[in-house]
Amino acid sequence: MSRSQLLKGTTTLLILAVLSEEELYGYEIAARIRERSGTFIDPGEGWLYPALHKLELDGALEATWRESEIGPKRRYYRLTRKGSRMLAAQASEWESFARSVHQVAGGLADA
Amino acid sequence: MPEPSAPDRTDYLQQVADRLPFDDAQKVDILRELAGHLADSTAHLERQGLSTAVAERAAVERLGPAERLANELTTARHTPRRLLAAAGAGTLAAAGGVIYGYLFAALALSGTSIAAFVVGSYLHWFGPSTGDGLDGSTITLVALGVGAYVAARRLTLTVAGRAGYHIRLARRATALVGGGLVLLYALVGWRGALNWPEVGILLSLPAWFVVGAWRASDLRFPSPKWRLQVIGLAFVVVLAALGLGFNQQANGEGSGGFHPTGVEKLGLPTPDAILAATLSEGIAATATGSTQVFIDISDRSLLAGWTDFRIEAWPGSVQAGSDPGLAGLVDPAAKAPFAVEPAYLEAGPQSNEGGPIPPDGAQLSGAVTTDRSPGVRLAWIALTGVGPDGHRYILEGPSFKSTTFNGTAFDWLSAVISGR
Repeated sequence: MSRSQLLKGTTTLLILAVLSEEELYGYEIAARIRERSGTFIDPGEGWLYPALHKLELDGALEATWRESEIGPKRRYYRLTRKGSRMLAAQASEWESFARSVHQVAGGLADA
Repeated sequence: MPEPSAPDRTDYLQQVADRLPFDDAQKVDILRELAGHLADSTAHLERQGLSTAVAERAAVERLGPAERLANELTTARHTPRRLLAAAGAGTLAAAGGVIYGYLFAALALSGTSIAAFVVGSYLHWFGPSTGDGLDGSTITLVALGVGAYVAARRLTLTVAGRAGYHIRLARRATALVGGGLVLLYALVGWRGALNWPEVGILLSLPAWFVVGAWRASDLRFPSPKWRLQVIGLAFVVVLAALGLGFNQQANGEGSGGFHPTGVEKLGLPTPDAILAATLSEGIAATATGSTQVFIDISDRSLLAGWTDFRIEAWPGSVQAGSDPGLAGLVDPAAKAPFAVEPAYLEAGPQSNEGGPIPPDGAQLSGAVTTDRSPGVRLAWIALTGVGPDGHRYILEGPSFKSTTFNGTAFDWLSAVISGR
């Protein structure tokens, strides 16, 4: 399975997770995910803005235009209460899923 | 074959913008965000040692093809909640559009009509029958047409902008769904007195709506040019209405011993014995809009052997401005009544006029509806029966009644198709 296919199912979780720490704008979100994953998750950024806008329309994120540290205005995203609940639910689901996958296929990479 | 090179940043953003079906404010927001992203991404790649041109192309490539990004940004906004909100906002906009269009057109038509009347009366253009302007229903229907046009434009623009659909798709959907609903309203939703120009205007309402949806654009609306067009339309409608004489109505109703030319088509004159035994007689409009005819006779044995009692309504005509009772005639082209209902002979304790009917007496009565035939403006109504000799006789009437078609456009079309 390609990384981009794996990424599709986890986009929302990744965005919500990095935004749970602080407000970020689009490029920073992509960069933060790339850094945290040790560049393992780096499929390009075309997926990012559609996902951000959908989360905003769903009420999980709020966005405001603000001056950035490097100059021009950027659109900062912040987790809402609904977004926090969504993150908790998705994180729990992902934990269960990852554990189950590991139980079935764990150790095969060493074989 | 070499890969096509990525467009530069400006071209790329323009390509995305061209494919986004949102209003300008939303587009600007999205493009500003993408431009900031490309600037950051380019700067990051430059720090890694790439030249500005190469870094910029790489940053664009990381966002993927403009068409795919625009499609995904559009799809992201097609949420059920957004569609519902767009439908709600569209309905409100359409309702406001109907009210605006209706009031504007009604004012324009009424104003034009009054002006035409004042000028026309001063110059002695009109006869008295057309002197008081347009028929109220005609003004209402034309104004509704303008209202449907404005509503469709506003509905299309609102749905496209709020739900994030391309204007072409919104036009098709609005024209199809809204046009269908307006057609349904035109056929069965509007009920009342109708003449053929009004039926024509009523059936044109879906066309007004579809044209409105098709002409929806991002231009400011209603524009001064549009307002002038409606006022121009009002002039044309008023002149057409005056020319066609919309306001000429027939002349009331009456009863009595009138004998229009052609009365022999209805039957032979009432036998003297029945005339002599008639206690009371009458023709009256009922609460349901039909016309009731009755005779009370003192000796019902006079009607022994009679069959097929019925109330008949025949189309009539009259010279303009004349009293139909004096100058009326049964339509020479008519070979049969346009409406027929059975009449019933009953021994009643009381006549319609309140007096008692003797024990040997009876009442013969029935009712007929005359406002379901589009081509009939004047009806001759009579109570008839077939005597023992096999001939049909007139037992009461005929009496004239002016009539106007009353119903829906669907009723009108059904009547025309069935030849009533």
